[in-house]
This record gives sequence, structure tokens and C-alpha cells, in this order.
Amino acid sequence: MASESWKGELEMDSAKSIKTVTTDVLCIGGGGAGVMAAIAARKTGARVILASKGKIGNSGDTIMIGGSYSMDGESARKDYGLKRADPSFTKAFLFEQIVKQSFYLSEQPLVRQFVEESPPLVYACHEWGERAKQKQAFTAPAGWMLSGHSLGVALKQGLAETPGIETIEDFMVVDLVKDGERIAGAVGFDVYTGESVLISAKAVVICSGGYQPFSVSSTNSDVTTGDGIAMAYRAGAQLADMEFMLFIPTALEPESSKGSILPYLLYAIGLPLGTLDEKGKSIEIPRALRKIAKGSELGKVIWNYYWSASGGLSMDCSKLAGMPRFVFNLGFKAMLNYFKQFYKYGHYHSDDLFEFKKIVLEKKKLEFALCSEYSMGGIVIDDKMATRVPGLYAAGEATSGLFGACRVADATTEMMVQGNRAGISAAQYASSVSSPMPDESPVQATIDKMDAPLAREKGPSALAVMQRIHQAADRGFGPRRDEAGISSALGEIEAIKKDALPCLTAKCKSRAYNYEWLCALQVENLLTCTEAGLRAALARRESRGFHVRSDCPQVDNDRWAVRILEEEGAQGMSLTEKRPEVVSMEIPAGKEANIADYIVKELI
Amino acid sequence: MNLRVFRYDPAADVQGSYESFEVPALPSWTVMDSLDYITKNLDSTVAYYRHSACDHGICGRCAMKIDGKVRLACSCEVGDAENLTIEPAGSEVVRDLVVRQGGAKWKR
Repeated sequence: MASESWKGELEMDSAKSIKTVTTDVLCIGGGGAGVMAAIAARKTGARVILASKGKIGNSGDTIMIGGSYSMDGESARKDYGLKRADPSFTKAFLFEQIVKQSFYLSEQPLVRQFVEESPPLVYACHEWGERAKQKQAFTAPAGWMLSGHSLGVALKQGLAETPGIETIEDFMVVDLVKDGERIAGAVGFDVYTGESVLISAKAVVICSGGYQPFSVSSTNSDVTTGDGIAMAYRAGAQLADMEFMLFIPTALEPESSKGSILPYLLYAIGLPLGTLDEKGKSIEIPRALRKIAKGSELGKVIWNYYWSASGGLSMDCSKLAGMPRFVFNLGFKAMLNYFKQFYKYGHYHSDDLFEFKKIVLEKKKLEFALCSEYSMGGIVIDDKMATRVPGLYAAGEATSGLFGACRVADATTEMMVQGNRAGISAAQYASSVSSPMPDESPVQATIDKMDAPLAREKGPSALAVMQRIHQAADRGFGPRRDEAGISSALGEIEAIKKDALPCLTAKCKSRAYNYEWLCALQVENLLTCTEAGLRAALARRESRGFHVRSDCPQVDNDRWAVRILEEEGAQGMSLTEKRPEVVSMEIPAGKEANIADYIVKELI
Repeated sequence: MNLRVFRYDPAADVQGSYESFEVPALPSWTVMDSLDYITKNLDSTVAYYRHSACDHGICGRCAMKIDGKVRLACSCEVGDAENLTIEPAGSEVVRDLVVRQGGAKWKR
């Protein structure tokens, strides 16, 4: 019986009886940041374990992209001989764009690191993709367009070319463990068997991605519960920028394409599309901003600002449907041919493009919503990817500080450039310290926490509690916020923490592939991240980037050109503020009436 | 719609059996939507590959036998079928619809 083996584990009175493996550097996360960190740490001479909740290079949000990765055009032309690269897209220009469009919340040393260190890493990834025979299409100014699946395959190629990395898949890390103040490893379990394991490590790199607390998931896979962010928080790291979620137009129909970013892509390529509110009335964007939005990454933040004022959004396709049919068909054919390079004919990922065509021509409108595809917030790091906890590093979407209030450059490049640096830093640190001795009682406490939902006889299901979190986030943490909504959502999160979290129960007691049990262990993480997001959203009494407050529309650089940092205090979550570090671009003073005015005056 | 789901816990059962669930599915629901409906509303113990599923036909890990054919649950719409039989796509069943696909391999 499965339940007997479970009892056997519960009877352990010493953490020493848990299966233990030892390494120098543990990288947590099977996407781009984790793979890059593992490769860099290995090349720096460390023993490395790469652990992933899903399959490495075939899970998480890396494979969900339908996008590109890139470097600056000058390096691409000069250092890599890419003739089609645009050399006017210089490092200095890229730096300036990221800082400005972060609404000046970028930590400029992190932007400098991103810009300076990306070219060789981006090129290395491109070569892995070529050797793995993946389709990559050059795209201006200096990057490659590819499918998420292909990016995963390219990363796996890089891993295969770096011998000596131990990989552990379908393994959920539940908590970090420490030796006094320093990191000593992590405890988790094998998703298929439920077996608990302690991975003793001198250094840990968190590469487990961002968080997604809403009911409709926009190109976020099932894993995006902010596990690494919350674990780092519990281990003493600080979080920041948690209020900034990147909302983009996401399909609500057809049902099988719910969560697809195809609507965003259709808007972004500049088709003659309108947008309707819930009453079917057209939402107008002033001409100046429409011009800015066209073909610019700022389109995301502009659309979010104007469209978030209404619920029940739909894409108005009547102009498109009213075109002469042969013109429409030519355009549709061009789209089919474009996507055919990366996906099965007639598809974008698994979305059937012919179904979209049918909706466009027959229904003439497509329901969509503004959903979060990326979280700007996360763990606070320096430009060596170190947190304030000795031995703990972080990279990729799990971190904060590079993109501030609005991400404009590629998250794919972020994961590569930060993953690589974190791996090097972690390996260097590991070579300078002795082996840790994980404190026994926290290891035991983690094992107890893991086993509790299986041991309880009665209590709420994590599946239902996850829905409660989603509903709270939908209500108060969406693309347009106000004090009452945020407070009400925060109240619900507090209530879940108090009444549900301590008594989550998995009805099935088997440790073998028990999703309800796994979800029970994710609930705490998503609660921590959502609480951090809501508290920061409540505190920030202005609007900036993707944080739009209908009750505080001003963009106020005099008061709010600061990052909100959060950490675990004696009385729960405590908030402080920090002005971003400047390298070369001073933060402008002053106030603007709203985000639209700010974009026109400051960002262009 | 009636969903006939293969149930099997190798640690407890001698052999697998089928359990039927009534699901208020629209034709546009995917098989994954229907299974999610079951675990959220009817029986949370049904096991199918979910913990790192992409839900967009990319990772290919939610493969299962749907009326005898191996399909991805996340992109296979139920259509107007009144009955569907869902079985694991493989012989090494971990539980219910989940089959062993790698998983943690410890070298030390």
C-alpha cells in the first residue's frame, strides 16, 4: 500500500534518514535561466545539479514563447558578421530604451550587465539551435525568431554539449535549507514517486520563473506559481517590483486557444483592428499614442492603459472582414506561410488559424482579455545575480530590477544573460567555501510541511483554494486597480492564509503523481507572491508602467521613482523603498497627469 | 457528456477499472478542460499529467488515449461526442492516466 510507505516516512524522527545527494551548485528551474546557469557553473569548474519541476527544456514558460531573442545590432554586425543586423541599434540605445521604458525603475547596473554580456550568449544559443537543426529566422534589429519548442531544443543542445551536469526532472523543490546564515541546499520530492530528497549544495541558483495569480493564464504553463520567489523570501531574500505584471491581449476564444497571445500578435503586426468594450462601443486611442504603439514595444503599455478601463473586451475585426476577399486571403496566406516556418501548417502553437479566420469573417469580433504574460517583480539581486543571502543567487523572470515597471527587451535574453552570470557567481562562491551542514530542524520541518496535506483527514482541496487565489487576483490585482479592490483582494488572501493554508488536504493519500498534493505545496508560494504584489500595489499611490490605479492616475517621479522592497519580518511582510541605482541616466523629476501624458512627454 | 476514465493505482489495485463522470462539456472544451472539471468539482483524486503541462500543444506531455487514439488532452476538443473513453497512453502506469516518462533519475 502506498499509504504504508508514507507512514514509514512520517515516523522518521531525524532528518538524517532522508535521502541526500551532494553537489556544489544546485540550479532550480528547467528553462533558459536554469540551463544557462548550470552550463556556466559547470564550465567554471563546479559540480552541478540542475533540478526542474517539469522536463528540462520542455516545460515552464520558456517553451511558451512565440518570440525571439536578440542582442544589439552593432555587436551583431561587428562581432558576428550578421550583415542584416541594424548597427544603429547600439548598446547605448538599447540601454537607454530599457531604462526609459522601465519608467526609470530599472537598476541601471543590471541593465548594463544585460546589454554588455548578452552578445556572446545570444550567439551561443543561436549556434546550439543551428546544430540541433531548429528553424530560426533572423529578425531586425539583431535577433532570431523561433518557437518556444525550438528554444527548448536549442537549450538542451547546449546542455548536451556540456558534459558532467547532473539533471533531475519532475522534481519539485519545496524549500531551501540553510546552515546558519548561509545557504546549504534544498528539500523536495520526486513528482512520480513522492520520494523526499535533500540536495545539499554550497550554492543555489533560483531560475524557476515568475508568478501568475490570475484565472486566465497567458502563455504561462502550469508551473508558474512563483515557487522560487517565495522560497527565496522564506530564506531571507528581499523581493521587489511585485506590483508590476505585464498584461497583454490574450484570447478567450475559441476555448482550445484560451490563453493564447495570438490577439496580441495580430494587434502588434498592425492589422486594421479596432477594440470594443463590453457594450460593443469602440474604444478610441488618441492618434499620437496610436502612432507610438505601432511597431513599438510600448504598444503593450499603451493598450493596457486604454483598454483596461473596460471589461468584456473584444477585437473588432469588421474592417478586416470587410476587405476585398482576395486581399484578405492574400494576407491570411502570408500569415500561414510565416507561421509554417515554426509550427505545423495552419497553426500557431496548437491554435488553429483557420478557426480564427472563421471567427474574424463570420463573427467579426474575437473576445480577449488583458492577461499577465510576465511578472516584472521577483527576487532582489545585484549585478552578479547575488541575493543578500550568502550562497543564494537568482536569474531570469524570478528576479527583479532589470525591467522596472515595464519590460521592453526580450525576457529570453534576460534568462540567458542572467543565468550565465548567476552560474559563474555561484560556482566561484562555491569554490571559496567549505561544505555546509544543513540545519536539521528546518529539514525536518520541510519534510513535515510536505507530508501534512497527505496526513490530514479533512480540509480544503488545494485545487479549490487555487481558484480562490485566482478570483481574488482577478478582482483586485488586474490591469486597472483601485484602493478598494486591492484591499478587498488582500483581505481574501489574508483569509486564505489563515483559514485554508494550515489545513490543506489531499483527498488521495498516494504519493505517486498526486497533483492535488503538489498543488497544496504550491499554494503557499502563490499566496506569498500575490500578497507581495497586492501590498506593493496598495502602497504605490500613483500609476506607472503596468500598474494603473484609477484612483491615483498621476505618474509621480517626485514621490514614486522608487522600488518597493518586501521582506519577511517579525510581524509578517514588511515594506521598504529604494531608489534605483543610476549608472548614466538621471531619473527625471516632476509629475504627469497620467500614463498617456507621461509616455508622450518622457518616453519618446 | 459521459467521460469514462481509466482508474488504477498499482500500489493498491490488482487491475485497472473504469469510472464514469458526467461532465457539462461544451463542444469547444478540450479533454484537459473536462478532466480539470472532474478534479475541481467531482473527484480530486483522478490523476492525469498536469503539473507542468503547457496547455498549448507544445510540451506533448499530456498524451493519452482518447477513444483508443493517442492524442494531446490539451488540444483535443470533445466536440459533440456523448461518450468518451480516456485511457493512459503507455503500459507503465504510475496512477490512472499518468504513465512514467522519465522522472528523477538519481546517479548517486
